[in-house]
Amino acid sequence: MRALSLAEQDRLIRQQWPEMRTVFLSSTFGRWRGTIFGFSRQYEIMITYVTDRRQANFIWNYAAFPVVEVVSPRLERREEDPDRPIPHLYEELLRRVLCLFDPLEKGWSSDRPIAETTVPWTADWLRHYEIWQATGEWKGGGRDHVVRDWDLSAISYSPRLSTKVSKVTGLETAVGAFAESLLASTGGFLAEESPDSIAEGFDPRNVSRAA
Amino acid sequence: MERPQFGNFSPLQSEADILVADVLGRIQASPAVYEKANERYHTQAEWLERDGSPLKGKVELVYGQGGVSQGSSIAARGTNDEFDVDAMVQLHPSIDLGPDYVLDLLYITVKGERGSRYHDVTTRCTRCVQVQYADKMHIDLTPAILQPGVLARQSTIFHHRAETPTVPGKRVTANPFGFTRWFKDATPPEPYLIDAFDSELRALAKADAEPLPQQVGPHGMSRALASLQLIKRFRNLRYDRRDCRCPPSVLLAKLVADYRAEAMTLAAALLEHAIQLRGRFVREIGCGRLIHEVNPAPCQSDVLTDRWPSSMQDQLQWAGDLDHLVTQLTIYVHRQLTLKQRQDILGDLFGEQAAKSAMHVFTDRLAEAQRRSGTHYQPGTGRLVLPAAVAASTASQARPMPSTKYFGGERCEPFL
Repeated sequence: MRALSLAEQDRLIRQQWPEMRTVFLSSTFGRWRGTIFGFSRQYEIMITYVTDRRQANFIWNYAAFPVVEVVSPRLERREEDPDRPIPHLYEELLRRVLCLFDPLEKGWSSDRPIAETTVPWTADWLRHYEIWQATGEWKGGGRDHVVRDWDLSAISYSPRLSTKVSKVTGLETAVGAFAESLLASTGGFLAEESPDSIAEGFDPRNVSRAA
Repeated sequence: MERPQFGNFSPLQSEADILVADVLGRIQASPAVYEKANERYHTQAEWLERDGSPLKGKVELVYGQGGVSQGSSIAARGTNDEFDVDAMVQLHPSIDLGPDYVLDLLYITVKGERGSRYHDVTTRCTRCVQVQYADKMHIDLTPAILQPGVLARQSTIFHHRAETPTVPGKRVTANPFGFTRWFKDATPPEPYLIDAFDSELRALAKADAEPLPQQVGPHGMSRALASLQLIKRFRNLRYDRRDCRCPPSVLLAKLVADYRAEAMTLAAALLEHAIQLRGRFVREIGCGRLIHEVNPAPCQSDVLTDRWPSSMQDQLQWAGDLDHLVTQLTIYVHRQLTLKQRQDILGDLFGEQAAKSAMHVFTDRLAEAQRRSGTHYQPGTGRLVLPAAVAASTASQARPMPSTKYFGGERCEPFL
C-alpha cells in the first residue's frame, strides 16, 4: 500500500475531527493540536508525525509513527496508588506519550490514515485511562513494555536541542522537547549531529504554516 | 414481535445516565425481593389466621403499600441489602376497641408463643408491628379497619406509643391503596426508557457481564420513579446517623409525581426533580409555614405530613440537604467530568459502595461490549460512541474504530 502524504493525512484529520487544527505542516513534519473526548471530559492533545526523519544535516528525533501527547489536563497517577505508574505510557515523568499500538505487531503503518487510527485510538486510550483512574484496572488490554539493554544505554535528553530548533521555526509549539527515549524504546536511533548543526541544517523553505 | 421505534434518541447515550441507571440497579429492590415480600405477606396472613390465633377469622386482607406497591422500594440504609417493606393488615371492624388495643393485639398475634418463629423478631411500633427477618428485610404490618361508605380501601389506622401507655392513642384516616393508584396514574411507564434498557439487555444476553438493572415491580420504568428511588436513597443516607424523623417516602412520592420533568435523560430528569423539590421547601420556608400535603386519592383527611415536619428546623435541615443534592447534580449533569469525578459525586449522594459497584459494572460491561463489537466513533464530533448508543446511531454515522493492542505499561520508569 502507498504511504499517505502528510497533506493527505492533514486533510483527513481536519475533515473527520474538526476540533483538531494543524499547527505545522511540511512535506516531512506534521503537527496537529486540538480537543478530543474520552467520555465527556475534554482533553487537549498534540499529534506529531515525521514521515522522513533523515534530513540533509540532521535527523528528527521522533518515532516513525504519529506521536500523541496529552497537553491538558496533565495525566496523573491515581491518588489512591501514587507509586504505581500510569499504564501504557512512554516517558511517564517527562512528556507522557501515549502507547497506542504494539509496534511488534506492526499495529500502525504509514498507509493508514491518522484520522481513522491514531485519533480514535487516543480517545479510546483516554477512556481506559479514566476507567483506570476510577477503578484501578486497565481494561483496554495490551502488552507491557519489554525493556532491552540497548534501550537504557541510548537514553539522553537534550534541552539545547529543542531550544535551537524552536528559535529557528519561531513556533512556540513547533518542535519542543524531543523524544530520544521514545525513539530508543521503539528501536529508533538518536541524532549524532550537534545542536548547532541541526539549527544550520534546518531549511525553512520546507516548512509551511497551515491554514 | 414488532419492537417500538424511538428514532435515534437513546436515554443511555451518556455515561452520566448509564452510571445513574447502574447506581439505581445497586440500590433498588430486585424482582426477587418483591417476590419474597409478596410471599411473606401471604405467610403473615396465614400466620395471623393460624389455629389459636387471637385474630383468627378477623383478618380480611393483607396487601402491600408504599414502595413495594409503587415499585419504588430501595435499600433502607448505607448497605445495599436491607429492605423495609410495608403492608396493611385489614381487620374486621369488631376489632376496633381502641388504638392501643388493636396495635397490642396485632403485636401479640404476630409474636406468638415463646419459641414460635416470630417471637424474638417482632417489635411493637407507634403505628405498626415490625417483623425483622434474618436476611435484613423488615416488614411493617399496619393494622387497618376499612371505613364504610367511602372510596375503595380508605381505612382507619391506629396511632399509639407503647412507651406511654397512659396517653391515649388516636385514629387516623389513611388510604395508601388509593395513593398507589394515583401515583401509578401520575407516573406511567415510559416505553422509550424500557426499550433502551431492553436493548442493552438483548445486546449483552450472551455476555459474561452484569446487565443494566432490570426495572422491577408492577409499575415499570419511568424517569419519575427512578428519580423518586434515588431521592429516597439520598434521604436515607443523610438521615442514617441523625436522631430525628426523616421526610416520609409518601410525601416525596407525592411531590415527585406532581412534577413532569422535561429532560428525557435520567440524570437531567433527576436534577429537575431535585430542583423542583428544593423549590417547594424553600417556598414554604419563605412563607414561614410547614409544608402540608394530603393524599390526592382523593382523601383530604389522609394528611401525608401529619408526622413530618414537626418544626421549621426539620424543614430547614431537609432544604439544606436538597440544596446539596441540587448543587452536586448540577455539576454532574452540566460539567465535563471524568469517570472518577462522577464516581465521587455518586458516592457522596447515593453511597460509596453503590457508586463503586456501579462503576465496576459499567466499565466491565463497556469492556465486554468493546470486545464483542469493537469501538465506534462519530466523525466530526471528536467523540467515541458508547456501546449502548451504537444501536441508536445509524450505520452511516458511527464508524468502527480499527482494533489496536495497547503497548507499554508498568515498566516505564527505566526509561528515565
